[in-house]
Order: sequence, then structure tokens, then C-alpha cells
Amino acid sequence: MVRMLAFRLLWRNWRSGEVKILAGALMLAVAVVTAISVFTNRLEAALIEESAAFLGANRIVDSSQPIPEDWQQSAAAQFDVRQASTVEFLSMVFSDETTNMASVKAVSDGYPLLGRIEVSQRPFAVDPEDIAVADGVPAPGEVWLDSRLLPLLEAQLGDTVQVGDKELLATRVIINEPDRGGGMSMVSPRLMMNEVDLPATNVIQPGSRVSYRWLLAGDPGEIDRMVTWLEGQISDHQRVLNLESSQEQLANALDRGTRFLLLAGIVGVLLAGVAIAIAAQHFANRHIDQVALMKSLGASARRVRTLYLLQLLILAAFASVAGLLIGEIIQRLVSTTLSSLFPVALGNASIDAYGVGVLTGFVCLVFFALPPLWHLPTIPPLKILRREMPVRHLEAWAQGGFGVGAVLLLIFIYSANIWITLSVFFSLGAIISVAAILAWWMLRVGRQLGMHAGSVWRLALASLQRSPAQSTMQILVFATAIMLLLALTTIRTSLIDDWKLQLPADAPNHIFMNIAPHERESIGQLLADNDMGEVNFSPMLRARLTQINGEVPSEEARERNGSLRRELNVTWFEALPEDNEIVAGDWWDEARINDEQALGAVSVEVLVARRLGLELGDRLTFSLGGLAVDVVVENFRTVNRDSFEWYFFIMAPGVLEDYSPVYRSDVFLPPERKNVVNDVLLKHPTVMVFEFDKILQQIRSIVDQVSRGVELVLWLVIAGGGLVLLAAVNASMESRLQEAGLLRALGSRRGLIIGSVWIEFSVLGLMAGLLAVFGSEVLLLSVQRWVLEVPMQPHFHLWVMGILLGTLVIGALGVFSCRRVVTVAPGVVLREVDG
Amino acid sequence: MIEATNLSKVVQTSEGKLVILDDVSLRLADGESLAIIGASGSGKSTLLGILAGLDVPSSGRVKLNGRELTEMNEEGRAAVRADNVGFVFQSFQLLPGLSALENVMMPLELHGRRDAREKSEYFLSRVGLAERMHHYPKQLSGGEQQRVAIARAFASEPKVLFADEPTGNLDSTTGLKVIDLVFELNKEQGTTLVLVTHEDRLAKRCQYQLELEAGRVATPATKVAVLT
Repeated sequence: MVRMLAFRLLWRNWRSGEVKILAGALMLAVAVVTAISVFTNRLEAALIEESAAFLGANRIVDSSQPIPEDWQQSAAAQFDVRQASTVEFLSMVFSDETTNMASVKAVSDGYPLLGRIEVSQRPFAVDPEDIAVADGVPAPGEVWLDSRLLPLLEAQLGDTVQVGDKELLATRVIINEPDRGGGMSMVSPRLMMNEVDLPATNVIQPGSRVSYRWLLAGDPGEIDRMVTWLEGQISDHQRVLNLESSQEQLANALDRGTRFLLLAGIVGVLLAGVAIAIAAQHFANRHIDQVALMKSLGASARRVRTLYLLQLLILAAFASVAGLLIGEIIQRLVSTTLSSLFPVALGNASIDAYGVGVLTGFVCLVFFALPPLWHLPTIPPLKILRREMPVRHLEAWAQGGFGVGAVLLLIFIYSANIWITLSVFFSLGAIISVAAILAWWMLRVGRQLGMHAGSVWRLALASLQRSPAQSTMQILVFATAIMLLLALTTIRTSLIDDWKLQLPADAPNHIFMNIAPHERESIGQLLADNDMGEVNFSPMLRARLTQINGEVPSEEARERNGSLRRELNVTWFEALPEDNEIVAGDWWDEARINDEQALGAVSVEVLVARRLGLELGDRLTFSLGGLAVDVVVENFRTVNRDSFEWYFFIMAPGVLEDYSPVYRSDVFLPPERKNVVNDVLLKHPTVMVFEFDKILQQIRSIVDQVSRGVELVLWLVIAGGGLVLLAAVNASMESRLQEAGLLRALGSRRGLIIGSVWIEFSVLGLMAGLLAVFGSEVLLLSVQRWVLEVPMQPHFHLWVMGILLGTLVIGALGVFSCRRVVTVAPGVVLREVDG
Repeated sequence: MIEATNLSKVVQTSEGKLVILDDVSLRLADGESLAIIGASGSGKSTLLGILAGLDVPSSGRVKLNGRELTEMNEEGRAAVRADNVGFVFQSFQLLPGLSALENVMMPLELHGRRDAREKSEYFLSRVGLAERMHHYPKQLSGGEQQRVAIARAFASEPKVLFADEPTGNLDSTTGLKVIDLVFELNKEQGTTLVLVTHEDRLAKRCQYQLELEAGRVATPATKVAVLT
């Protein structure tokens, strides 16, 4: 009975337009959050899949010993995961004509578990028509070879090559493979064979340097369970690799991308919350009379509460379903429209992604919509007789508390990270508090200025002043929306620029190492002949850090610090590398370099320095080929670990001039020039080449994908912001209509009313714009500093954009929403409002 | 039966205590009618509110149909109102989003009456609005709106009808029609009627008149039934 009545009341409220804004805001909340959450979920799934292709699996157990067979059997029995294995080693490969070193990878059936091997019948193929996806692994007795290996072996497809004692038929060229990995596979060209042929080669002998890899793929939960099990099994010879441990650079790019999407999601949630609170407040104000009437007619407070709760729940259910549908449609439209642009197909979202939308709807309802309505059942029935009787709303601090709770809860639901929740929450909280004070102050100043102005201005400013609390709230709402839009646009731009800067299209993708001084000219010439322009060679020496301040480090210190155990690459530079930054001490100048009295200077990477407990002025002794060199620590600096060239130790020029260095050169080679690598290696067999081109290409495609996702999510949030602005204007429309109707009835010209509406909303927008600019600048600087971890820079273009956006858009929105005031007869307006 | 004994209402203001009602007593039998008259601010509406159980006195007692309102909490008073009381207000108090019919149906629906629609249609016909049942308040004139309010009040067949300045917002002719309607339905249903009014002609239609002056019963009372 009560449910039917609630349905009927809700239907009547709906028809009369009273709950439409509330429902719309709720629907918007669910839609925006669903769209963002489903889209990011799909995007993340695609990104994880794409990035898993780097490993060829979700996890890899990397071992210098064969993986125990009983592991594989018990894993198969206990866990629902797919398995494959590879064995990698360097070996000389023989053709009929010649021999060459190759990085051999023997793979089991099922490899790769994720990602794919691209093969061709033509070496160095770039035309997509020539490239196919392999439908398996090399058959027993066959090998697939890297493009580069064929000319090096002077062989062709169809020839046989010999690996150890086994002759194998070369059937395909490998264009791309997952799990290119690092280390030796980058130096020597690939030869891929079937695992079953491996014993016949007799290549692997006790003591051979071999990397055994056990590839695992499956559901994240299942994989996690299995990793937990594995951790109890593995020895020092083995380690479990995931994306973070194997591809730091890619993991960083992904992390930043998901953090941004997260921020965008939080903004969507906040905008929705604001819209719902405004709409609920509006709804509650309109229902005071209705509740007083119901209570005078004998409805108990409990009855009223039940009726309103039921109405809200029904509304929430419908709004959630509609929101889910709209969210789904939006994200489908977005992903379908852009599917051709995505390098990989977006998968299906998990059901949790939709759950987040529905959960958001209900949390918004309980925390944002209920508090403004909470007092309704407590409205005294006497209110029906005494209109002037004040209504006891839920205390402002309590309403605020609910809002705060909701924001915290929602951000936490969305981020599942307490630190992100708290940092976003507190920075927003601080900004909004300061903004409220500033808004109130601006309104005061506005009123004083308005007293000296003409009638249109006076009318407009008086209108703003009539209810300072309400005007302050509106300024805050507009300011918050504009602030978030400005901040998001800027974060997105700087994020993408930041990535692009790190990964320019012509970033070096090959590193030639181990170049002897006399080889520089010849290699330089070879590269120049292939349009590579001028090539830089940086010197490099292998050195061992043997003493600190004249003392040999303890065994324990050596155990703790890798840089005390192994040989280090040291170099010398006159100028500080561009992407390094001095954090203590000074970079050397010419006088320091030429100071023959002083010890040579060394610059140390700050984290290594911290681990070694170094201080400025410490004396380090390096051993270079048995000779000792003493240097003094002159400065500490950061390095860009995302780049390929960075050094823990850089000497001042002159220090190492008596030692013969080898050189390295970082070069960008487009695919069609790839053969230059062979030319260099044929002529200079001792030179080593690290090939990063394929990895870089994969990273770039992922970055492109994340950037597009970020743009789309931003548009969804902007749409949400626009709708919140409309909801806020709508909520204050009734009193505006009444006032304007009265003015017209008293004979005011239309121009005066329209003008004053323009001015009122523009001034409101101007104030909101000013605050937004201030707020977004603070927010952006904090995000740059703490979330994205990029250098802080002020954003002057925001000042113009924010103020213009606020003044013009809100001014126009105000006039647009209030147009009825001057188009409908004043009598009708007044009567409608009164009725 | 309404019985009020030594009712006082005192409120605390920034300027000290303000006495709104001072020692008012009355008794009204079932089916009788009482007009509460007096100047603005004399305490008429306060007395009406207390008698109807919308408000509580600072001291004194009120019995409505044998139930002691002053000993009840708001929930209890709501239950008594639901069973016994109807209202007509000066400003009609129609809900703008509901049609005339829905406005009349609302109290019946609140009390879970299954015949809400039929009963409402009947009473709207009785007040002459059969053709305008589906109109919204803003589409009706003031007199028509008050007739909807009267239909709403009588549709739930209250034992006592409280009316607060029912003609206050209406012109003289329309007011007269509304008065006729109230008394006609009152007679039909045998309802006890308590109304607050400024209008002499309306007060005179009641069996009893109680004049208030600054919260006290003015003397001499005219045509007083039972006044102490």
C-alpha cells in the first residue's frame, strides 16, 4: 500500500517536474561514472593485455637452472593457468657459408601465452601485407630467424643452419616477437627453434650461461595465488618477473595513465555529487509545504519518512538503470567511433566496472540527496498555519559531514588507494574553504561597488547580494566545475606533452657500444652514408669502485650495494647532460677542469650516493684495468631513468684521459635503414648493438592509446560539468523568475532585465572564474609535484581562459535559462511561481 | 466534542516572554460550530492550531473527541488528526504539481483508502468542479482553488473541520459562495466546525463566537455556548 502510494507520489512529482532535476543529476552521476569506469576498465584491460605482450605472459619465472618439472605438474594440478617455457642462450650458428653469434630461443608449444609473433617470408619487411601473425611456434626441425641474421649468415629461407650438432631448416623471418626482453637478446640477432630439438643440439653443457623462462598466464586472481605459492618454492637462482620488474619505463607510463584516468573519474564523481546535492536541496525546499500539509492531515513523521525514502529508492533504481544504459551507450559510442584508432581491440569490461556506477548512484543518493531531505519528516504540522515558521534543516555541519564522507568514500571506492583518496580530498577541501572565504569577500566588494553604479548594475549586484550564502554557494559550484575543467585539460595536455617529450618519434632506438677509438671515424662515416647525419660518440670506461675515503668497503656494504660489487660504466662530460639535475654541489666549470692541483672531480647519482652514504668532498678510488684513480665527489645529481643513457658516475674531463676508453653512440634508425646494423657489425665485429626499436615502438603505441583514452574521459567529464552548471542555474531559477516578473509588472524594460541578468551571471561567472583560476593553479601545482612527479610550472594561459570561460559561458547560460522571464507575460510568470 | 481548559501559550523572544494565549477555556459539542474572531495578532490562529493538535500549549489541556491531545506526542496527535480532523486554509494549500483530483485524493491515499478516486470525484462534483478535476491549481481561479480545498477537507469525512480564514483570499461574492458550501457540507456530515475569521457575516453563521483580544477571551462574549 505504502509502496503504491510512494510510486504514485513519485510519478506525480516526476510529472510536475520536481524530481526531474534530481533524477537527471543522479542519472548523470551513474552515467558519467559508468562510462568512465567501464571505459577505463576496458582500456586498462587492453593496456594490461598489450603490456603483457611485452612479457609474452602475465608472469615469468626466470631461472639460471632448468625449471623443476614437478613445479609445472603441481602448478597444472593446483591452478587454472596456462604455461609455456623458453630456453635462451647465445650460440654460434653455422650456415654453409659462414658462422655468426645468435641469441637462440627454444620455445615450447603454446609460446607466447600473450602477444604474438609476427613473421614474414621477407627479411626487413615493413609492409603490413608482407607480415603475418605466426600460428604457433617453429615446427620441430625448423628455425625462424631475425631479419638481420640471414645476411649475416649469407643464408636464405629454405637453407639449413646448424645449431650445435643439429641441422635445422630456416623457414621464416621473425619481424616481431613478444618478450624481446633485455640483456643478450638485444645484442645478438634472434634464432627461434622448437624446444624438442634442443637436446639434439648438445649446446647446453654444465656451466653454460642459459636463461630458463617459465611463462604463466591466466586470471589475475589465479595468477596472484600461484605467485604466492611460487614464492615459497623459488631459490636464489630464480625470480618472478612482472611488468614492473621487467619494464620499468613502460610500467611508469601505464601508472601515470591510470592515475590520470583515476583523477578524471574522481572529478566526474564530485561533479555528480554537487549536482545531486543542489537538486536535492531544491527538491526539499519545494516539498516543505507538501510535508506540512501531509502532517496536518495526520501523516506521522515515520510515514512521511517512509514515503520519501521509498520515493528516493525507486527514483535511484530507475536513475541507476537509465544511467547504466546511458553510460554504456556513451562508452560504446566512444570506443566504437575510435576503434580504428586503437592499436589493440578493447576487451569486455568486468561486471565490477558497472557495479562502481550503481554503487556511486546509491552512495550519492544516501550522502548527497538524503541530508537535504532529512528534515522533511520533522517539519512541524503547524507550519501549514504559520508560513513564517522557520524550518529546522539538518545542521549545516552535519550536511557538510555527509558530503565530506561521501566524497571520501567515493574517491576511495574509485581509487582503492587511501593515499590518493586523502591527498585529493584534503587538497580539494583546502581549496574550497579558501575559495568560500574569497567568494564571500568578493561579493561584499561587489556590493560596495554596485552602490555607485547605474541602475542595471545596481539591480544585478543587489540580486547577487540578496542571499549572500546562496550566491557564495553558486560561485563555489561554478568555480569548482571550471577549476576542475581547467585542471583536467591542463593535466592532460602536460601529461601527453611530457610523454611525447620523453619519447620523441626520433628518439635513439639503437645503441652501438664497445666502439674502439680508431673505429669512430669509420662507423661515423657508415652512419653518415646512410643519412644519419652527424653522430655523437660518448666515451665509456669500465671501472670498479674500490675505496671510499681510502677505506675498502666492508663485505656487508658490498653485499648491500651492487655498485660496489660489479664493474660500472663511467664516462666524462664537460656539460651536465640535459635531463640530469644537480641537487647538491656544483657542476664543474672550466677553471675546475683545468685545476691541476686538485683531485679530479666526479658527479654521483643522488640515490646511489645515498645508498653508499657519500657526502660532498668524499674521495673515491676507482680501479680501471688494475690502475687506481682518485677522484673527489663534487656534486650529486638526478638522472632520467626513462632514457637509455644515464650514468651513476660522471667524471670531469681530463681525469680519464690516460686511459683508453671505448665509445658508445645512440642512433635513431628507421626500419628501412635497419640493415646499417649489419654493415657496422660486419665491418667491426667487436662492436655490440642494443636494439630498442621494437620496444620503443610498443611503448609509443601504448602511450598513444592512453592519450586517446585520457582525451575521451576528459570529454565525458566536461559534459558532466556542463550539466552541473545547468542544474545549479535551474535550482535558483524560480526566485529569479519571480523577481523579474515583478520588475516587468512594475514597468521595467526588457533590456533592463536582460541586461541585469547578463551582468549578474557574468559577475557571478567572473568571480567563479577568478576563484577557479586560483584553485586550479594550486591543484595543478600539487598534482605536478606529488602525483605526476614532474617539475612545477605556472599556467598563465589558464588565467585568461578561466576568467573568459566563467564570464562568458555563465553569463550566456544565465541569459539562456532566464529567457522566459522576458518572453512570457509577467502575469503568467508571477502566477505560475505563486501557484 | 472539543474541550479546552486554561490554555496558555507563551513564547520566548529576544525581548523577553511573549504571551500569545492567556487562560482560554471552551467546550464545543459534536456538530456545533464556533467562530474565533479578533484583531490580527490576537492569538486566533494559535488557538486554532492548538485545538487541532498542530501545536501544543505552554499550559492547559485539550481534549478532542475524548482524547487528551496535550498528553500525547506528535505521533499520537498525528494519529488523532488522521482519524478526526480536516482543514481549510486561507491560502488554499493546494500542491501545485497535482491536479485538482489528485489534491483531493492525497489525504485519502495517505490513510490508505481504496475508494480515494471515487470519493474525490464525488466531492469535486459536489463543489461544482466536475469538469475541472484534471486542472492544475495554477489553471484555477482563487474561488475554485478554495473549493478544491473544501472538497479535500470533506472527502475524508472528518469529525471536526478547522478552517483558518477560509475566505481571506477571496472577493466578497466568491467568499459568500464558499461559506455557503462549507456550511452546507458541514450540515450534511454533522461535522463540528471551528473557524477563524475576520468576517462578520461568516462569524454570524456559526452557532458560537469567541472573541480574542491580546490572547485573552474578550468580554462580554457574544452568543457564547459554553464559556468560562
